[in-house]
Amino acid sequence: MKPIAALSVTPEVYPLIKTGGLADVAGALPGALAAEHVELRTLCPGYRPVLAALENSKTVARFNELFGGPARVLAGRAGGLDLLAIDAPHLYDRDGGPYAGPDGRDFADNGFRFAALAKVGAEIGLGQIEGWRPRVVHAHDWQAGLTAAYLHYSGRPRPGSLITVHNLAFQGQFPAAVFPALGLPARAFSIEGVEYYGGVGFLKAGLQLADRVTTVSPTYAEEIQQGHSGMGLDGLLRMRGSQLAGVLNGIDTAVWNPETDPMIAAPFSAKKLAARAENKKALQARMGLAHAPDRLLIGVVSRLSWQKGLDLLLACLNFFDEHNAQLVLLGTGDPALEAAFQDAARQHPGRIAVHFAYEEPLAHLIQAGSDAILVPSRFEPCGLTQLCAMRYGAVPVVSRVGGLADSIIDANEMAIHANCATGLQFSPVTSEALAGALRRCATLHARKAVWKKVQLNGLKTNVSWSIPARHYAALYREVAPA
Amino acid sequence: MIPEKLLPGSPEPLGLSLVEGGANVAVYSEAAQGIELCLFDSSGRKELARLALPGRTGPVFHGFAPHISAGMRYGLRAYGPWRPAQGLRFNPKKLLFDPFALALDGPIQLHDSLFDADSDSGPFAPKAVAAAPRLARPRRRAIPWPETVIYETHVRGFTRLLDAVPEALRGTFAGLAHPAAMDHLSRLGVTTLELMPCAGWIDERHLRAAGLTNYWGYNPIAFCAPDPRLAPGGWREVRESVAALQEAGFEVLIDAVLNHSGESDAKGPTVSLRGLDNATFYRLDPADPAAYVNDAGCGNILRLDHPAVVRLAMDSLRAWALYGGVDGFRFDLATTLGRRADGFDPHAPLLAAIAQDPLLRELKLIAEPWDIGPGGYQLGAFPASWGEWNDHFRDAARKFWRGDPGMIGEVATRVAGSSDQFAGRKPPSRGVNFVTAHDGFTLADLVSFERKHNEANDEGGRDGTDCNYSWNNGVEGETADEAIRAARRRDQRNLLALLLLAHGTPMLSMGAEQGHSQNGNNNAYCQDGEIGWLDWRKADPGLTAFTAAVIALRKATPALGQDRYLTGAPRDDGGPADVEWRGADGEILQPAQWREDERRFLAGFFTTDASRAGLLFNAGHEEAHFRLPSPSRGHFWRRALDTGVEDGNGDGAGFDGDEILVVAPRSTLVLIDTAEPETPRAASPATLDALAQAAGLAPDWHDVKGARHIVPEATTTALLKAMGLPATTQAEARASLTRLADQRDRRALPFALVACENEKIEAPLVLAEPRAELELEDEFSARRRLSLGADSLRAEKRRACDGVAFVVQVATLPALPIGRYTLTLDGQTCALIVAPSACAWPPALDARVSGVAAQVYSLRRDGDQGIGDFTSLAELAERAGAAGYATVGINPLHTLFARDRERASPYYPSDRNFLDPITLDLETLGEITGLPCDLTPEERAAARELAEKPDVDYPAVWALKAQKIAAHFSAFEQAARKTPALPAAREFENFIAEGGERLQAFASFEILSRGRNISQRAILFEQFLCDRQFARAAARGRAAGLSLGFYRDLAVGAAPDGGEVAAERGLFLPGVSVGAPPDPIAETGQNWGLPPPDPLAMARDGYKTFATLLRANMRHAGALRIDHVMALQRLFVVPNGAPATQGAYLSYPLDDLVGVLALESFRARCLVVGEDLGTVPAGFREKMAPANVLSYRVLWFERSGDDFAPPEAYPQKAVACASTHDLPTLAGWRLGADIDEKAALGLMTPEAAEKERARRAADIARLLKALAAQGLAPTNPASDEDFAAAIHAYVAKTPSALAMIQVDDLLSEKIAVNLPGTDRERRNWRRKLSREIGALPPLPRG
Repeated sequence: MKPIAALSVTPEVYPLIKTGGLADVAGALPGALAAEHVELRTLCPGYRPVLAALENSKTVARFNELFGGPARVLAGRAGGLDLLAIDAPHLYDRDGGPYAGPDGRDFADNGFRFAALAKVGAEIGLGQIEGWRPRVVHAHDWQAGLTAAYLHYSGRPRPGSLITVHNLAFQGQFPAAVFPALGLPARAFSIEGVEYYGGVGFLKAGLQLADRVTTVSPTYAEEIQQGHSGMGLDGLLRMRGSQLAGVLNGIDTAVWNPETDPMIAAPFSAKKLAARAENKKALQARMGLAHAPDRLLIGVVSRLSWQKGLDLLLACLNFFDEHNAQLVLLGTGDPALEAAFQDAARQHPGRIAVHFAYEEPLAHLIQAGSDAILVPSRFEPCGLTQLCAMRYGAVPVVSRVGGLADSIIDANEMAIHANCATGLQFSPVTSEALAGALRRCATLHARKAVWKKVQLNGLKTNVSWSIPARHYAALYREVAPA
Repeated sequence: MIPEKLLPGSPEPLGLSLVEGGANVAVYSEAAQGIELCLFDSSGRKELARLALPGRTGPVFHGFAPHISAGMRYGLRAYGPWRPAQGLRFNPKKLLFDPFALALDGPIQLHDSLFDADSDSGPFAPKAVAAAPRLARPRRRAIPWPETVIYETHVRGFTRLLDAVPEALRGTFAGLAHPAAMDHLSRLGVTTLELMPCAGWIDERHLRAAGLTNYWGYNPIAFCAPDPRLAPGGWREVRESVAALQEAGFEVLIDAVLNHSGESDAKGPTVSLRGLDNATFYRLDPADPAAYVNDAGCGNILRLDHPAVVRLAMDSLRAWALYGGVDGFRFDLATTLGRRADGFDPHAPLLAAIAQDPLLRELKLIAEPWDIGPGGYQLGAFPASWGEWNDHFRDAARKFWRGDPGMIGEVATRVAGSSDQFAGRKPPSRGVNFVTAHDGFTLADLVSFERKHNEANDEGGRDGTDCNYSWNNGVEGETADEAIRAARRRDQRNLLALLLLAHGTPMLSMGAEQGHSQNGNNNAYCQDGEIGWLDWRKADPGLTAFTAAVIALRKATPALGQDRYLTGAPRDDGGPADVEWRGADGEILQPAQWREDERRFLAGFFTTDASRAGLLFNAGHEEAHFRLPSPSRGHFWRRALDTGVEDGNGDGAGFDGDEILVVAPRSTLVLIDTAEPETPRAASPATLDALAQAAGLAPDWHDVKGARHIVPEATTTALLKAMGLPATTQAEARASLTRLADQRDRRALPFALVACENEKIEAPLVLAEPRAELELEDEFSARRRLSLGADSLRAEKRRACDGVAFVVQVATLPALPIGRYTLTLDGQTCALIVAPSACAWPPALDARVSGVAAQVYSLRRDGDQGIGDFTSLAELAERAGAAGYATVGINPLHTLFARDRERASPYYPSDRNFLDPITLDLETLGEITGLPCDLTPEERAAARELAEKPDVDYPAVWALKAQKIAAHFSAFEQAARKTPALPAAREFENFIAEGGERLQAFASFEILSRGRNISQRAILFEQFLCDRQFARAAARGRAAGLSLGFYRDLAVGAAPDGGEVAAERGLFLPGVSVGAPPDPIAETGQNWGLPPPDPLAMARDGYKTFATLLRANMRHAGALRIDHVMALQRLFVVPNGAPATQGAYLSYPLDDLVGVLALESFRARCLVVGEDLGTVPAGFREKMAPANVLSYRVLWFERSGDDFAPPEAYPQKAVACASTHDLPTLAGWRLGADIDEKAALGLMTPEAAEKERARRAADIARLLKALAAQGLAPTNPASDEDFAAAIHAYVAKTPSALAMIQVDDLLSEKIAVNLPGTDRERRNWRRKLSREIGALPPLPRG
């Protein structure tokens, strides 16, 4: 296969700077795409932790004026990645996170901070770096949204462009007053360009002008073309429908590996599935649940928010009494939800246990020790928990939305018969449907042989980055200029 | 329908030919008694009929079989005697394959019945299939030889594991022609595929036992039929696949095995020729016709000088050309093709037949020009149009990169096209260069294995050559050691580059571009599996991209791979020869050098009219530093390839002639002579960074809030230009870098070396050999020689700023006393300074002492001439001494501008080495000269008038003084002429002599500058008077008890239009000013208008000028304050015209400068105070304290939080003071006089002023709190005197060695002499004290 050079333009990249799943994707793609003969370099802002991690850096480009000051692009390795970092201290060298200051307020100049990211991404795409010219520029989320616009309006032969929407809820909307400073031609301020409801829409610009638009699951790609999930961009997304694709994320199967995971009580594998019981025992002990090898144990690892649908679970708690089942919940978030679950735990000692924190080792143990993992999200662009669950032999019970719909095959009788079921789905996202799914889960759990088959199907499912990487590589090759 | 009998038929054509109504069969056999045609059913097992060929014409048996049509399976049986001793081996039990047959019914399988004498082999022997293939369409245009790049590949192995090819097609011709396979080859850029044997072949019998099969196919039976394993679709598949490949731009050559057949030796199977006519087809041993001549090493050889065998060979070749449409052939063991009974003959029948064949002679024909028979090695002997595999190239390339000694001559011959083998016979392109071929190691294995590992072949390791010229880079076979893996990747790239860039036609072997490994198997002929197949999953895409890039480079560069032999002769027009061979240093290799065994570096520069390129091969383990020859006019050398870096692709960096290029160990570098673009390439960011770093320019800076700022490129470029290091274009930048490296890093001796007393003195020397004769000269011109041998030198590897590594011989010099020395080596000198470890610590500082500070010009005394003068200073010193002070601190008394007396700032002087004569007291001139010098009443009146003014009226004062001094000078000169023994006259002459050239230069500048009629000596006289009056003042102070003496002040720089910069041109950076980055006081930064010293020039100067300056300012002083002492480490410099926000830090050799300072301080017994206010670099103060450079701590700035730091928080090695000339006076501060002033001048808005006043009030409260905490609250807070006294007592309480107070504060002055940030708005540096200083209040330090 023909090697192809590509540039990933991202505001976050794991393990250097992370606030969300985008960082994981940006961090995983270069390695996964290497196997697809894609040489992917990553461009990100030179935040302090990024510059501190950069080794053997070398200046590869300079900008005398980049939104208020001189800047340079440093190339080097950091966090195992081949990184290009924008050293623009006036934009990025400051206290706080990537988007907000220590006071938690968004930086007032975020528009310029990320216009700069896009501008530099585009310039590199157009050949700014001597000796390296990507044939594809892949932008992530609104922060890199203007990349496609800068490429489009450069009027020069340009690389192919791609934008991936990880979360449509953040759109990068700025007042029209920023437009003159962006350095785009006047005609760009139009409905065919970057204009959006009278202002400048960074994400909108990307969706409008990139050669391809992807989001993190096929179902989410469909959903966001509908009015209620499109967050105002559904019309544009429908128009771009033929260039819109969903590519499910993968997980790091080296970190999530039940055969080697040091955070779980006992290693196991598809061949040694019986060893899983040790983890269940350890989990029950750790969480103060009754030790009961045969009782259905349902795990939840989730942010406690409306999006994640856990309020629905509160309406189904009698299920655990009726079916003598157990519930383990790990996560933080909405104080009202925390309080409600705290109550539930008090009222069901030995049966419901909760832990309001995010602890990576406990998350692993829950995946390894629960019989089922519940993900009742109202919307879920991709979702990660259900992929980890499959990898760890826990049966995912999920709402039929977004990436959950795409990654789990419902254990209906046909699927059981065809031996391809990997979990349970329910729809619509209501407490009634959720209660039904829990009852189905209990029934299925009682059918020991079938349950084991579903577990094994999950364990066999490839949830690594190799499949998404193939998709992205194919998209790159489609958009790369001849 | 099966015919019952045959009709006579025709003797031509040979073999079975389908015609209308049936098939004609003709079989050649000179010795058979009868031939039968045997027809088989579709399974090939059941023999349906045996039909004797009824006709015979000479040696040809023939018959016509009616009803036979395409697809009929058939064989032959031959009747005749079984008399091996006579070469006759007929046996009708053996079913024989028609050697002219055009199709096979399936892969040929071995079976016992093919070997034994008795069983019928009919069901098991291969069957021919009647066929009438369509003709391939006429051939497309051939690719000319000089444009050819051959890729040797195996039809099966190439795609067997290529997932992108549909499963059913993998391993076949159709698979090879699949777009996924062709795409790889297209990208690679190869032009011509050489396919390993494709004719139907049989396994060797020994492989059966091992469960192996023949994979390569060098064992043919069906010469005229494609093997069904490779072409299940027969000729149709071959034809269509070849057409598709040709359509995609490739030529297709077939490896034709005509030297032997698969029937092997006497024990081999009887399948075809052996049974048909053994003695005709095979060359038998004349002495024992039962035995076969074995010149091919395969059991038999074909008798290719016999017409029947020539006919078979020709029909076979024509079949591939006609039905397959191929573009040519590679002939396996081709010497056999030209063998006659008495040896090789280039005009032998088969070679002659090919040469006259209208179809074949046009094709690309390549000989493997050897076999193992006698006289078998025939490289260069094949017909001129033929290509020939060049094993000399293979061996030379391998040995050179293995690192064998003495290979450069051989490898140069190979790179230049092997004229020794081919010149006069054929052009270089007919030599087919290769490093690896199917036979032997793969490229990856060649650099990973020292020995073959053929265990998988099950021949006990006996097969395969032992002569591999291979190496393993440290570990035999696979390893996880990344260093070894990297070395192997690099070696593969080196070999590929050599192969693909040499003159001659290159041939890659399958997988060489992907790092394909056979796990050390160098004879994978029987490895039809993962060893032999190309494993695409393990492919190294980087190597593939590299290979493609090198091929593209070859195609794009006419000077590489030329199709002519080079002469090396100089050209008439004086241009470079067509080839120049150069050594590692870049010089042309001399004849004797070619024979040096240890040379492992070779550079070839190739020139044609249109193109020039350099190939640099470094097979050694040391990096080479290659001085580049000049590129063509208006061109530069573009680095197009560099295997010294991981991906191997060149970075496109440009270089000029005479630049030094680093050639990494074991690497190949390609330089292309490239036209400079119309607009020269701007310096690349990386080069600019390297140059800036080497010059000491920081890439960024932090402001007081900690925010980092990147230095704009324009600033860096401007500063570099000022430093004599232009870097606007890439060429300039590179040249500057090289020059800097040459002049500084690679200098035989450093320009200056500052060592510390009692420490080892180490001198880094750059020597051709590890020995040196150094000359050491001290300050008294005493010389000694230091002979240094290898034992007193320590080699150290260093890297110069241009990236070139070099060896420094560090010499340890004998211990030397404190002082200055000069080291000389080969005419180059080095200033050696042996300094004390710290600056002087005068005995006066054994106790904590105090001092008063004054601006000399502001002092009033009865009888002054409108300005404070040396006499005013002497009086102050006496009062201070009487009051117990140790020192009097004064402003800089540097020469200002006599031509423009409005320029009054002591910190913006004309020349810091000299004093300003405006400080002279006219009344006491006579004390020095011994001549009367009374003021006239008019002068006295004028003086009185000036003395009464509140401010110094510099122009008027100077007008008065200049005139009087001039008059006194005339009188002095007259007296001296009259009385040569006049003591003052002698003193004056001594003063002039001591002042040397620098004093003369100063005087010259002053004459020009003042622009009026004044003599040089008059200027010198002024300086003489100043020095003497200053000395007298100092003496008066000492006598009055001033234990430390004067505490002078050295400004940070001199005005760009002043005498110092004029006299020391070259030591200051032109067009650049010192300044300060933005801070809260000056938000847009500051530009001080002072040119910074050039750090490179300072070192070149051996720091002499710096030392002279220190010495001049330590004169008549017990202490020297160095303004902005951070300048020893770095200065914020700003190009003129740029705002101060666009400056950059320039670094200075701190350790050296501190050493020089310590030496001067030691010699002058002068304490050093470093004014370290403002932005102080981290770690700086920690360096100054042990060097006894006192820190300068001002009460206002010493805080803990917002509160004033308590006295005990002050460091001991410090000067503590309440205020400075740049700050409000204490009284002024308390009043907010400075705020009022700023507000009045519009420097502050009324609102800001109001805020500032509020802040001031809070600060005053804090200060009073701090004072109270020390029990020092002023008795009368409203009294300025009490307020100042309390603060002074506070300062006096600190543990700091010296506490200073300002006379301004003793007199409760309210207005500061200077308001920083103002210039024209305010008359700074003029305000006189309001009254004369009387007795000073003591400042006890108890």
